[in-house]
Amino acid sequence: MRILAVDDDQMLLDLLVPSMAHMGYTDVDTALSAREAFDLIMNASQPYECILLDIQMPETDGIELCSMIRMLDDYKTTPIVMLTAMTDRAYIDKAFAAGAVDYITKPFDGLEVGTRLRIAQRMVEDRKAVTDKVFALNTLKTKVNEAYRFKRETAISIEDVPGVVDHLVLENYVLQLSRGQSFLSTAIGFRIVEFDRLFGSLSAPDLYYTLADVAEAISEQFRNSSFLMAYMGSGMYALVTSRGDPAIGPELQDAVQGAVDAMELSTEDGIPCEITVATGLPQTNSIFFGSSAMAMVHAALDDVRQREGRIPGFAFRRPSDDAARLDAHAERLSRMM
Amino acid sequence: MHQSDYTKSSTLPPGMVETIRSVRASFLAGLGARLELLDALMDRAEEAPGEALPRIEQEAHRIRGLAASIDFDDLGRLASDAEDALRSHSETRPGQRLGDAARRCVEDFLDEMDRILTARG
Repeated sequence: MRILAVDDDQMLLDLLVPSMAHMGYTDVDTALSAREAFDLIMNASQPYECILLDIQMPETDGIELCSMIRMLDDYKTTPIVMLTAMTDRAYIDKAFAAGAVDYITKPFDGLEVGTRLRIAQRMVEDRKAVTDKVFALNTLKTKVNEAYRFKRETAISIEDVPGVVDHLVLENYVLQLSRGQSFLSTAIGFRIVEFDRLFGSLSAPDLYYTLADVAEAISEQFRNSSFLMAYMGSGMYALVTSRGDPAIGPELQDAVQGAVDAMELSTEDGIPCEITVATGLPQTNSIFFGSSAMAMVHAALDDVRQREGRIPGFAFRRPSDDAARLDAHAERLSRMM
Repeated sequence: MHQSDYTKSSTLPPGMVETIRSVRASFLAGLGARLELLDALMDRAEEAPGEALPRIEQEAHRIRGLAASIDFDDLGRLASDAEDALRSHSETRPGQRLGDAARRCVEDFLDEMDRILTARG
């Protein structure tokens, strides 16, 4: 345990330091004034783990020094033990109010010093145990962050949302559709507006859970349908359902956005995260798409790339929505149905 | 010697006994000068009590904190009485000369220092 002992009487320090050494505490620095002590503290390569302070010293006394030390980030919980010849309780109370955790009455004997230091050491060890746990937790958090990390354009797999599958599964599904089934299907794209900003500002786990929540908000609108959806990367989702699915209509965009808003998404730290989701127009396969069954999915994604959602941006709500643009979009949607 | 010569330290580890002996020797070596200073401050306290008494109180405080640890129990007790009397005086009659009771406490303290020096020879 690294100890700093502060007393304005050199002879007392001459007695105290060997007393501590006999109790096994040999890593001790000393200071004869508050100023000297503070300089040692500020220039220490490692913070002291225990500080002994004489209460009554000329100029800055031990109580004032104790308050100053407590203001330092590294010394919020370091045991500070006061050395005092004062029997007046008011001094002791003031010292405790300033952040002292114990006191040794002068004249002292070696046994008392040893006892007090052992108590202080237990405090240091308890604190270290807590610090170790916090460190372990932070290490784990870093590992989790790394595990979740992915590129902006990566089509990550979202788990545990009804109807949501990996993009390769969706592709396989679409490719397996017979030509007839393909013509009876429709694809629709969804896009998180200004995904790049979201990607740059959220931690990897926060981003994953946001993507999963948005997927859930979309999935919810199709709960009575037979559909498959996948996250396609870059904040976009592709959903394939049957042509004429009643879930697809002019109100779909508002319904998805409403579900997202209702989730009141926030980061792990509790910072609100406002997400805008754009809904594209449904796309179907036709002779114009040639022979590729995936053409309708690509068309759905191309379409939604052009769309802005209710508002053009995440995290910043404009005072008024662009109602005219939304109405026009809704009208186009209804014409397509 | 008035104090029980290292009776308390006899239960301590040998190294600690040596430390106490060494600090005690240093204390004794400086005691004469300390006493001279305190005598001079007591004289000064007649003319400028506000300046001299706090310094005497500070010296009494230091000796109070150390003396008994190096087996000068009586000196420690008298230093304690002197410090308490001086503090009480400074709180109730700041800047004024010492009253009789407080003066007696300080003089007893100084007499004990003198007695230790005389006994040391």
